[in-house]
Amino acid sequence: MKKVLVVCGAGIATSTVVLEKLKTFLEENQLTSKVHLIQASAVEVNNLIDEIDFIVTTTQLSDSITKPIIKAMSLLTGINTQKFYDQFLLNLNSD
Amino acid sequence: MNIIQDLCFPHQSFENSDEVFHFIAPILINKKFVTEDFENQLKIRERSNPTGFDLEYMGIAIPHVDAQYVQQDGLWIMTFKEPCDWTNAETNEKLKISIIFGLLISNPHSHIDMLQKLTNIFPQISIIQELSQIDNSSELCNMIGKILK
Repeated sequence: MKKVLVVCGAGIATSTVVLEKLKTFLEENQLTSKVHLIQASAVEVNNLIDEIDFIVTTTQLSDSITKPIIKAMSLLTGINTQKFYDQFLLNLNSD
Repeated sequence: MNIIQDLCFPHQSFENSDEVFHFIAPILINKKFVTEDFENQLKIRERSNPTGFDLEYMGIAIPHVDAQYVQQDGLWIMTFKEPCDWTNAETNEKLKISIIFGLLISNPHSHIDMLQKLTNIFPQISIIQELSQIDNSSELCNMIGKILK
């Protein structure tokens, strides 16, 4: 099971929207059992970095982060969302 | 969540986020939506994690602060006569925005519904454009109220 961190600046607004969209996406694609989603704010990322496989974010993160980062702004704007989901699946299926 | 007309500000003339924050903070503090430190928190938050989003046809912003600085849930809306300078959350570059949805969230787990309804309208060009062109607060308030019902 892959652990995915869902991040936004404050950990309350945009990450919540992204989390819900991701949950729906996972359900629709029968991937729910393969992914554990964890919601966090930008400042909490370093504390959680060792436990997770990749990050989905709606805000800028530090360059020093060592795990893959997928920008999720398109899930908020509704523009070009396919690119996000493609990247998500790519990271999910990689080793 | 009830949308109140007092928090709908159509056709404003602010040039950037600092000016907007300076204007809105005393109003929200007075109405007991937020704590005294709100203006400062908005600025801090905006600098580290900008809230501008490029919808391609238009820019929008969703400024907000950590839940601990919010005492009452709500939403403030602002539109502009001329697009206002903001920062793009994705690229950190300057972004001209035409509408602000100011989120007031006191509890990290509440209002998923409201947030989803809000983000669902972002790709709908005609709705966002219509909102940005309304010139009176009562009509703006009504339209947002309908969208979020």
